[in-house]
Amino acid sequence: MNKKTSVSDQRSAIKVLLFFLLFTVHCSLFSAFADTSDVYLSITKAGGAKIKIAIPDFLVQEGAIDRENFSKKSSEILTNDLNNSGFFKTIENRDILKEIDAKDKKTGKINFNEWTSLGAEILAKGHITIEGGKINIECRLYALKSGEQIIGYKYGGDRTTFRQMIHKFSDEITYRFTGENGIAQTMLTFVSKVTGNKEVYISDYDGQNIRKITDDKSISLFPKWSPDGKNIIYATYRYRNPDLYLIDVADGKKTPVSIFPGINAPASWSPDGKRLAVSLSKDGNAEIYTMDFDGKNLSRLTKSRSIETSPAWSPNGIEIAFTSDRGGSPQVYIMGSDGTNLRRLTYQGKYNDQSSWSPDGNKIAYTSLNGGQFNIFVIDLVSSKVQQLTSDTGDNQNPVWSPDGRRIAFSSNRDGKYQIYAMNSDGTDQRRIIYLEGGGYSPSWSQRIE
Amino acid sequence: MVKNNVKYLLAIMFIVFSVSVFINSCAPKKPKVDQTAIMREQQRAAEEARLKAEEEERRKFEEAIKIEQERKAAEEEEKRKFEEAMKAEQKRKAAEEARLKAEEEGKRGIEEEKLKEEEEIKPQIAREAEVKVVPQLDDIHFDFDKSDIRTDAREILQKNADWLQNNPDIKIQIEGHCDERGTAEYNLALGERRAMSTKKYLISLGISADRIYTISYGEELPIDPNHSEDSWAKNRRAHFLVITK
Repeated sequence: MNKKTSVSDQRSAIKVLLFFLLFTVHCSLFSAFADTSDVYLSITKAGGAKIKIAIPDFLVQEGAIDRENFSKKSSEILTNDLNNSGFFKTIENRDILKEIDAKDKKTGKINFNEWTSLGAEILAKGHITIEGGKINIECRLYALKSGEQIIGYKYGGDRTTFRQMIHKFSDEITYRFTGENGIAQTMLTFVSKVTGNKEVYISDYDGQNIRKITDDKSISLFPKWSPDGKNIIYATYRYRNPDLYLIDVADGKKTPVSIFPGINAPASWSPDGKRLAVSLSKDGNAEIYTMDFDGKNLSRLTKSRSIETSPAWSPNGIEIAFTSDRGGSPQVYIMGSDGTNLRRLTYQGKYNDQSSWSPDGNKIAYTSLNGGQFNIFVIDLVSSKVQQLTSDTGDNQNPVWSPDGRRIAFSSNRDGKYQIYAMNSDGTDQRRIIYLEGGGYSPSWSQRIE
Repeated sequence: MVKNNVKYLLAIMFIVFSVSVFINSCAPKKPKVDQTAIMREQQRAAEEARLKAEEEERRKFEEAIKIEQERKAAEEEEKRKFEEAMKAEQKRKAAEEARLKAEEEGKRGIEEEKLKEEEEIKPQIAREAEVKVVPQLDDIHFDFDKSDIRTDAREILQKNADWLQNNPDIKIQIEGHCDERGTAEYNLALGERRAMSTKKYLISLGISADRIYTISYGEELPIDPNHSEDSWAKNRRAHFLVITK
């Protein structure tokens, strides 16, 4: 009896020991993994504290043309991208960055302690080589505490895609730390009167790389990116009527989509890019219709004596928000994309228009005219709670969400003429992103372009 | 002898007994059978009578229901007829009222007739046309976010219509314009509505719809670029042009 007991005691003691050992091994394994990659994710998730990153000027091979410029530009673009993302805080003192970088170059290794002493947690470095017209950029990201390389990529391109390569690296960094793709490779389209006529322009999401894509010498209005980023739909008076045209961004080819007598705008893409919701007045007054993106299979959604305009297709494709004055003043309504289940959304304010769905479909940003001033508001579709994002800064119009839902671009005349601005979706960090003599109106933000 | 007597007696008794047994075993059985049959017969008759009574009752009940239903149907028919009559009466009254109202309106002006035409008028555009301003056609102006023809505009439109009547070959383009105090999107539709309501008013004054083309410029072409109440009032307009080509 006694012997047996002692054996079973021994066995259970071994079991406990084994379990303890396994548990310990498990824990240490877990923490080992955590130290390498997962920890980066958790930094951002804990209360929105930003990750501090050091970005010295990129190294450019000796003897390259425009060496200084490439070196400075590259770090500038990346710095701006990561600050825009909302997840990172860049080290601002460029002299110190230069000094430590020079030391790295001299010693032939990265002095992690020195970089850490700046308060940085991560370090981004780039090495540019230029051969003929071809530009190669080697980009590496290091975790300073562990002294390990987190990611490394080599990009190849030319002068025209130089910014895109850096944007790509920025999006990789954002993805690494948030698990979500960045928006540095997205684009904007807007209207400007640079030539004296309203024409359609496109730019990178940061307002750089501005190009004019129409030459109608008329009035061009309401450009909207197609979901695949290949086309833009817009209204033009070129043929003496506000018609709807599709423009292929790559080759500039224009195709008429809707040219009924009367107004054929504004339009909104269905999220799959197959259909358009458009305000047409062909039957006597402005009503919402849907049609294929080539103008076929027209379907009428509203029927009233009032104005129905500014359709905005929901991100899940099920609903369409629009503006109607059927209640006596312009207000935002929502209906199914087949015209059923109509309901009024906005009750606050006497003049609401230009609705834009957040990418998650939970909120709608819109413009409200109050006391002679336009301001941007956001309404939560679940709680119906309304939040005012702009105030006391001139007129603010045409809110459009970035595809990650973190930023809202809009047009504002706070500095004189209407120009394109962007802010966080809670109204903080309002900044002008484009300045043109001809002003900036009616922005549209592209999806992430694959 | 006694013994003999006893024998006889016994014999008689035996005979009597045998006869009685015989009688008992044959004759009396019949009436007994009959009795049961009669009882059965009676029972069946009673049962039949009961069933018949029940059947009769049910029939009566059903008949009663049928009668009730027929009564109800008749009542409903009556009610329906009554309502129909009421409706017809109401219709007649409404028609009468409309007629009276139309007569009244006819005396006062042309308001009601204009609305009837609204549904049919569709925008027309003059894509290839060339246009010019003529001094004989004056602009009309609108209130903020409104497209109805103001009293001061009626006079101008009458004047414009008169000129068009005197120049029957001329076709015109009406441009609808808005001030900047609205969104470009909504103002595009509002400008359209202003052009259309102006066109409708001219039609009501006898100008043919074929002579009138419309276009909305929303807030895109202000006549006065300033940002004051005065400028806005000037910009909310319907502008008339003569088509020259």
